[in-house]
Amino acid sequence: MRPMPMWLSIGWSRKDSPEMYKMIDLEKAGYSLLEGRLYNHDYLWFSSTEIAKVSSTWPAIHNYALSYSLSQYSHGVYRGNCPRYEDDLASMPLYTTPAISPVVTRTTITLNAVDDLTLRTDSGGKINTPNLGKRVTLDPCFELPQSGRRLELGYLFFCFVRGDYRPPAVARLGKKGCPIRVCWKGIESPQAFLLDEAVVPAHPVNPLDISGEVLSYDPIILPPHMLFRRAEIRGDWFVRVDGGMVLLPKRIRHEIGRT
Amino acid sequence: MSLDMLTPYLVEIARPIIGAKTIQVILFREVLDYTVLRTEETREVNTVVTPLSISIGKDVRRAAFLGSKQKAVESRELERMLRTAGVEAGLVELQCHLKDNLCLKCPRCALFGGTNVESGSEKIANIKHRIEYGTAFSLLPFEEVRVALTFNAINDKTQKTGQALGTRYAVRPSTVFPSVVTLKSVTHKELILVIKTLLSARNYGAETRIGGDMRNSIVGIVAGWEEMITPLELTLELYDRREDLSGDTVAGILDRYQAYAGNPNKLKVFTPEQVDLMVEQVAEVSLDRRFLDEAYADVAQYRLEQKG
Repeated sequence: MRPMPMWLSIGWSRKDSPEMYKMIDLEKAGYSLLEGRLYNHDYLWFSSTEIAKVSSTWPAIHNYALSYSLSQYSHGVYRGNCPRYEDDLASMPLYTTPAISPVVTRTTITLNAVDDLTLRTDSGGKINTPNLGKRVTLDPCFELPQSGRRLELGYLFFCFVRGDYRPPAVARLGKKGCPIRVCWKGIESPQAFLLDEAVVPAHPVNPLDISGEVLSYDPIILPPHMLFRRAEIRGDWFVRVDGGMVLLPKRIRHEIGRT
Repeated sequence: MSLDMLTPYLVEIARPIIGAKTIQVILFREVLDYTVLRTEETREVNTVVTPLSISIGKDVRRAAFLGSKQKAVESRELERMLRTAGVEAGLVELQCHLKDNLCLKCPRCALFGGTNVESGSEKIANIKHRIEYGTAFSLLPFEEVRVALTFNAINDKTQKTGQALGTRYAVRPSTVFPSVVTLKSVTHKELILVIKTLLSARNYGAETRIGGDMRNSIVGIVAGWEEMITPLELTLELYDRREDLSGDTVAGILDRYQAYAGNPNKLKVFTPEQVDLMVEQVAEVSLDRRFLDEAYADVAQYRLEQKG
């Protein structure tokens, strides 16, 4: 069933802008909010930086990558030369915040791809195929759940899920499809508020998700778009979760405004 | 046919844009000869730190059998199988080979993926893989499975070894690597080809002229709309039950993990008897002319769809 438009539930007319509500009940708007803790169960590799054939991975996961992964959204073929993130994200049943891990270890792995004909890795002339290189990967991470103790390791993020979609607990992430396990926790009755005071969200932020004023930020340069590891934001929408603040992404707020 | 039980999780025809149908094949990769699993110049076996088991959090090192090392062997094994079966069936010999001469027309390319590498030619669409691997971790800690072997190469004339004397680090025979191969939106024929490949692949790791023999035993199959278990979880679970490494043990573990899934009502864990029957039936399928013609026609249809 299509969720009831939120302004009907609180008596506002459709032409009013969502900012006037000062409060959004996400459940009534057809969204649920989940806290996810992600564990990579294999070497996680994506190319955050690449210098002299050494490709390094930073322990921050872009929210676009996470959204694609958890939506199980995979395009085998793509026409054109540039990705269509906006089109893709609009059709996905969820949208996440970026994720970051405070504690990681790394391993450097040498890779090669042998040519069956020559048994060499450097054949192929000017053809751009894998040969010999190094990648710095994030080590597998596992945490034993213990009753009465909060999970502390892995990558913390928050996920806005539309409708009845149930995100998978195991998915693939990164350039070589590293298997990941996500431990989900539902947030009860999530309400978003427009806050005038400065707030530091409990998670990294994609600047494209911010509609308020950014007072300070600590950038991470990560393709396809930079992230803020820590940002101080004023005049934006937030959901209070266990004493921390989760930014309501601009695209979710606009989506709610359209329903 | 027992394989029919998997029909709800298979697609009729492979498509470039895939759905969620997923089959996980659970394997025990058992080392039969000294196997060299290394990637670095130090020539040491790859290791990784993990908890000892699902119930004991103490950190231990385990030998790591990288997913790329499994995939490389099995991709080539399938290619070899298709080449030989093709010649026997009277087809033109398969011209596809890794890494710079992928034909993008055969079931290997359709399943493992492929990139057109011809420079200056018309731009041709790539194929995304629909088979996924993960690093397998030794069931027992590294200290219990590693071995250092001294080697030498005597100069016949001088009877001296000179610098040819060295040490070779390997994983000892009888080491077990619980492993998972995941298939996404595959056809009935692709499933058959994958299982046949897993059963026939034998040599893994470096220096396979003198070692690297391994036996893959399929001990479980689970299907659904998502993956249910990772190789790391499987290893940690099995460590606690290492005295009873059987299909029943694996099925018991998979049953428990069903509860964590996003869509548990779509998951099906097959019993060890069903798995054995499926594997037997797959082994009996003949890669004859009809099978190959249909498999190649599926790939042609896939490529046609990519052209739009």
